[in-house]
Amino acid sequence: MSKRQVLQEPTFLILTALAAGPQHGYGIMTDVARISDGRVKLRAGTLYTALDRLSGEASVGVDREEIVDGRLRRYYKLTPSGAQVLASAAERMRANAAIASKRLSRLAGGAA
Amino acid sequence: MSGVSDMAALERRYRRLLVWYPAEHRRVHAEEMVGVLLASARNGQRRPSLADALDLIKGGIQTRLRPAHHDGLDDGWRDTLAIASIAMPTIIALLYAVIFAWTAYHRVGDPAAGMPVAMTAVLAGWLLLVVLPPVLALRRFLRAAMLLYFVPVLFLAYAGAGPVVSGEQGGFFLAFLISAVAFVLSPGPRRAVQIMSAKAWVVVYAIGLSLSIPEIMLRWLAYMPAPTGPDRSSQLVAVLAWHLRLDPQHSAWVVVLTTALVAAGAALGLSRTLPSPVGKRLLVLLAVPAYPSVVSLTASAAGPGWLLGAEVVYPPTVLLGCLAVGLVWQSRRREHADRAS
Repeated sequence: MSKRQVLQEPTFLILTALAAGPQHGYGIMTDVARISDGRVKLRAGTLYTALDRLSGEASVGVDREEIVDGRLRRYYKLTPSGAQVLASAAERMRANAAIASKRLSRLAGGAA
Repeated sequence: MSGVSDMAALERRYRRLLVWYPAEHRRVHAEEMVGVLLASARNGQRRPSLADALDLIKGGIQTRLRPAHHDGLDDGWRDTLAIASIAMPTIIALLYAVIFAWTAYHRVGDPAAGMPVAMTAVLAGWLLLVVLPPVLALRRFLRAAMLLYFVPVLFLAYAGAGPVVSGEQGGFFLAFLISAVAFVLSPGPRRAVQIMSAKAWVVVYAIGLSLSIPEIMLRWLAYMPAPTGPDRSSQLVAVLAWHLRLDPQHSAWVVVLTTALVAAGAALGLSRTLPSPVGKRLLVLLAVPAYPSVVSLTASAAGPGWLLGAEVVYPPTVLLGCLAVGLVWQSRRREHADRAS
């Protein structure tokens, strides 16, 4: 994945969720739903495919493991490299949004 | 139907869907995935929803199609190949640089040879081609990197088919091939940078360069003024003896033994800087491209009548190939036995 490549929204939201601190799979799913205001509902298949890929790219790592009610709970954390990827993506989105807003306000000004 | 049996039925069905994922992925993630799937299930739900089932199937297929999971290799192999995907090209680059410097040095003042600009350009081009793939991979341009990893392999397989078959370019071909395959089957150079310490890199390069000594010697001999002799191998021995001021009968052996000693020392260092399976496997991978030149040099040391080429390189290749397949097979069997117990 190129640093300049736009992150897909689920990947962006997973990294954003982990930017708040280490979380387990279910925690990431609920956090992503909260961040996106319920618009993005991650499912387990998508989540773990993304986590596995992000681990391979060294963007996320395992923070710790716990056994809760007899089930394994693995906590994931954002690595410094993942934070850099997220920061670049956020900056790009901010720049794009600023340009869009500026042009829209110009459009509105011209129409008035 | 009780809640507990509903949950058990749902869990069984989710586990059945996880078969879409590769065994390695299931080994690492199955338990937590089942936990997450059950945690997000509705009360009394007995079957996975269609959306969840499709999502798991899609995820399984995507994971299987991803290069790092094609192999079914354990973390040891994945890490070994990740290191090889960056170490091998950079060792080749260093070797090219040494050969280039050597050639330039010996051609200076020789008007007949005249250090041609074309040769400089070709070597510089090769250097760039060798260094670019790991650099691109580190910058996360993975598709471009993959393409470029295979360019020298395809070029040597096609344009250099003659020298590859005769053994002259065999070492380089094997090194490029191992680099490309290592990149496809591993997380790549970024993972290597993450797991390797500065000390481990120094040791890896020491091994790579010491294993390149026979290749450098062979190239060096090709450019040296040679006393005339009955055949090429006796010429090689004579030239080497002349330059090293040694008994002609022993000179090539001295190079081979020195290489073996330096490599053994470096291997000892590797075993102390990298965990055992990764260190050992990396040593084998680095030794593979060195061996055609070691065999050629050893054969030339064996005396006149030996030729530098396919006939001395390929019989041991078949033997070593069989040995390698046997070792991999044995290691896989042991792995399966460990997992089953």
